[in-house]
Amino acid sequence: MTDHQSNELGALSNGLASAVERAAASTVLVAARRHVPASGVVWSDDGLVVTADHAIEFEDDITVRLPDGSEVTAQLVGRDPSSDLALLRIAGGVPPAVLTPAGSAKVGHLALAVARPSAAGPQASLGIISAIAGPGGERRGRRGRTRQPAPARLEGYLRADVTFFPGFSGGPLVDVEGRVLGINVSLIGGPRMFRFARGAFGQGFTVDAASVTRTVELLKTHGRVRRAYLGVASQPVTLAEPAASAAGQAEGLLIVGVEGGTPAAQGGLLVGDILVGIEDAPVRDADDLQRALTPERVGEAVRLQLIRGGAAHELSVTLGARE
Amino acid sequence: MAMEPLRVVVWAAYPALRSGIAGLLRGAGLAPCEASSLAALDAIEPAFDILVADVGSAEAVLEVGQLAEALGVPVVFVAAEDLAPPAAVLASREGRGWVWRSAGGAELAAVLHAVAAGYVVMEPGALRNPGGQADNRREATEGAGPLTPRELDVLGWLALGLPNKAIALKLGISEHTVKFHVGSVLAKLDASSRTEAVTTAARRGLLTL
Repeated sequence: MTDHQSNELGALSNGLASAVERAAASTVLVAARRHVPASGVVWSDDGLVVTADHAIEFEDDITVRLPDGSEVTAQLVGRDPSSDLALLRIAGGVPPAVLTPAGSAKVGHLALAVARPSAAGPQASLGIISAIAGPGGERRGRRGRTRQPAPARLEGYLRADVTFFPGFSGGPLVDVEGRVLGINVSLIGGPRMFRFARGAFGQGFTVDAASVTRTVELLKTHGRVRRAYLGVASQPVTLAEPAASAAGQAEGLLIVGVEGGTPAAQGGLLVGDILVGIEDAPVRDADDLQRALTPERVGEAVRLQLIRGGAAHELSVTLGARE
Repeated sequence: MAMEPLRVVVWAAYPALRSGIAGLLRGAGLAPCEASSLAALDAIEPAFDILVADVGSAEAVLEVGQLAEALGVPVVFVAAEDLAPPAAVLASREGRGWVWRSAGGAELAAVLHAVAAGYVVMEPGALRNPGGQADNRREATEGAGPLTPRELDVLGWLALGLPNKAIALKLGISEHTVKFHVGSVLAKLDASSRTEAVTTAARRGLLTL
């Protein structure tokens, strides 16, 4: 190896180490469950800490170990099981994480998962961004139709082929500058395109920083995330012809219950209808529906694409919030 | 949904179950007839559109499945909660339904109409492993039984992201009791966290969306 090559490798290696060091300065240990603690990221200078909701087993007596090794108690501000994020508050004084500018992440970029699973110090793993999904990232038009592309959801996700060791939940995924790309959470409930890869690279994915910030704002203000609500109970259904052609897809959600007084009831949705799309974004299972019901859509009129009596049908429904 | 009323035949090994299912369907506007034995099915005149069969064992599922295939009618299995659908049912590409015994009349009727149209409606738990690779852990734990009404209440608040203390206030019960219910919800849904419980419940249709 030439000196030049060796210098370049050394510089890369040192660069990665400083990225971890910078990110670790805002990465804390969150002890709110038995066995393995989780990680968290200081999100604001007034002491808001974001972590993974699934790592919060007990809500009282949560302790947070700061980068300087000291241990403080934390209050639970709010939790959002749907996005697997929770918000804690500690006394201020820890520098908040620096976020990557929105939209700067690209598939192929180097990424590091940083965590603080023990008192021994930060841990990290390296990979590249393997996939990006979310606003503008996962648009799926339906077969055989020309339509305006519509985002399937407003939450953004990343997947990186980093290893999530125990205690990495709630920690940040960072770029080579140590800036936070997002928060590492559980794969459960993740986007469809990630779910099928379950087990391939650990069990997690990353909620992107912009979505985390939106969730933080909602949790800070309301203590919870009000998601849009339709008011249906459903079962996945595999369609046969000619309905499959009419829908442009082979799966949908059979409506098996419509709760009285809900947006679904008011909008005229009937038991027996098959929901196949919302605003032209396909709905194939309950996860698709759950993700389409974003907080931003509360109070919004949306067009539902249905199969009713074997034929395509459309309804406009004003979404509410579950109270 | 269908232009003509659906001709439904209900079979269950026990008369009480049979009458129970038939009653639910009548309540949902259908006019089912009841078959006292599987052997009697091909004697039923006029021919019927769909068979609803209560099944308590894998053997019963296979027997009913083969019979339905021979008769050329779609079938909806109303299954005991601890029963996993055999591979043959999962592999079937049309005209099959699988619901738990906890299903209500409207739900059952909606499933019947969809299956009669040739669609496949499966409890999401049953679809976890298409191709029939049994996931024994799931099968074993789904036998833990349906959620109680109180657990469903707790699940609803849990889905909203309410912490235990707030759920306790909403339901007027102690935080300790809420913790107990949450633990039970997690166990019954085979979930290791609230996040997983909410996702699983939504997939299984236990939470309205």
